[in-house]
Amino acid sequence: MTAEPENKIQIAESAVVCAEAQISGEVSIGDGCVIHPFAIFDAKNGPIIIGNNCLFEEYCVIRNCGDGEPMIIGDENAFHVESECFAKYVGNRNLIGCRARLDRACFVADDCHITPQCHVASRQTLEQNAVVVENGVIRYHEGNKNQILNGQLEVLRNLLPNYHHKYGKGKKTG
Amino acid sequence: MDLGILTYDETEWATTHTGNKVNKKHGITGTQNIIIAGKSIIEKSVSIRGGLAAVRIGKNCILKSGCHIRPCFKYFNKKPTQCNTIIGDYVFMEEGCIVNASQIYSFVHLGARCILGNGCVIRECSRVLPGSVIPPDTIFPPFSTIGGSPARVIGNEPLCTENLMIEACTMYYENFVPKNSHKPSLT
Repeated sequence: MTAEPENKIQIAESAVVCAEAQISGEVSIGDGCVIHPFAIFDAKNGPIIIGNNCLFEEYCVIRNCGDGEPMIIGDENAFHVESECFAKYVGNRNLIGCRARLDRACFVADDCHITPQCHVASRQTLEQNAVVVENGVIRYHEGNKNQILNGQLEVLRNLLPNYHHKYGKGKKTG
Repeated sequence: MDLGILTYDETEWATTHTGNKVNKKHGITGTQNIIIAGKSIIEKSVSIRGGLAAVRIGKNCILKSGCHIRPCFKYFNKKPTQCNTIIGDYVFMEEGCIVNASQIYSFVHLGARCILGNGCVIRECSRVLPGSVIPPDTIFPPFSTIGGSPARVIGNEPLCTENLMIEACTMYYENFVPKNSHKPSLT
């Protein structure tokens, strides 16, 4: 076993990251992000850079599978329960449903919606406003913003610190 | 229908005074907001997010491993809020359900790996087929068989569903015994 690389975790002051989240490697989390307990960030193979106002729910897995190259996640993305993201680049305002999976080195542009239990194949490129439905069928929608997210983030930012310790400060619960 | 006897390791499980059996490897947070009536079984790696809003679970419910119960998010009078989740009596959840629902009534059977969208309501005696995805804010009538992705009503449940579910859930609870106890077989 090689020695574990030192964790370099940067969390913005306004972000809410629960202590139960597992973060390893070089991860930087932007302003106003909300990370639920039990979310997993694995940046052992390369850094993960997350933009502002993102939502990560329980048991979502964000893993950098590349060879040292950074994985970039833009602003206002929502990753729902048990979703897996091994993508190389995720743009802005995307919605990744429950148990959806973004395979290795895929590329997701802006305003995309991956519906629950759907997959984006390895090295696939999703263009703007794409909706991935069952069996890998891709449709396109009118560019309307995911407005519900901002209200949800606001509530969660007030609610989560009442029941969970912040990451790196205090002990874990549950 | 007869269910076999399931044994469990007593060191990994906790029993409350109301008869709930909870695996110690759970992800239950915000316990002050969770009410579980009694005689329920909560298996390994079940997460219940009491920190978001109150969760009420009725009696004789069975939550198999990997279920996630999380209160739903709604706009009430243009004000964003997390809503309470209410689950009725004799509800059977198979492995890996994600329950974002606002209310599940009694005698409901949820199949394995189904996903219940934000704020949906499932009425009494319904059955959700395995792997179905229920869209947000949908309401299903009682006695419906729900399946597909997106889910819709694809049939009816028999009128005796209530009795069947009571029998199944009570039998599952009674046959769920510690490893070293000697329970007389039900022959």
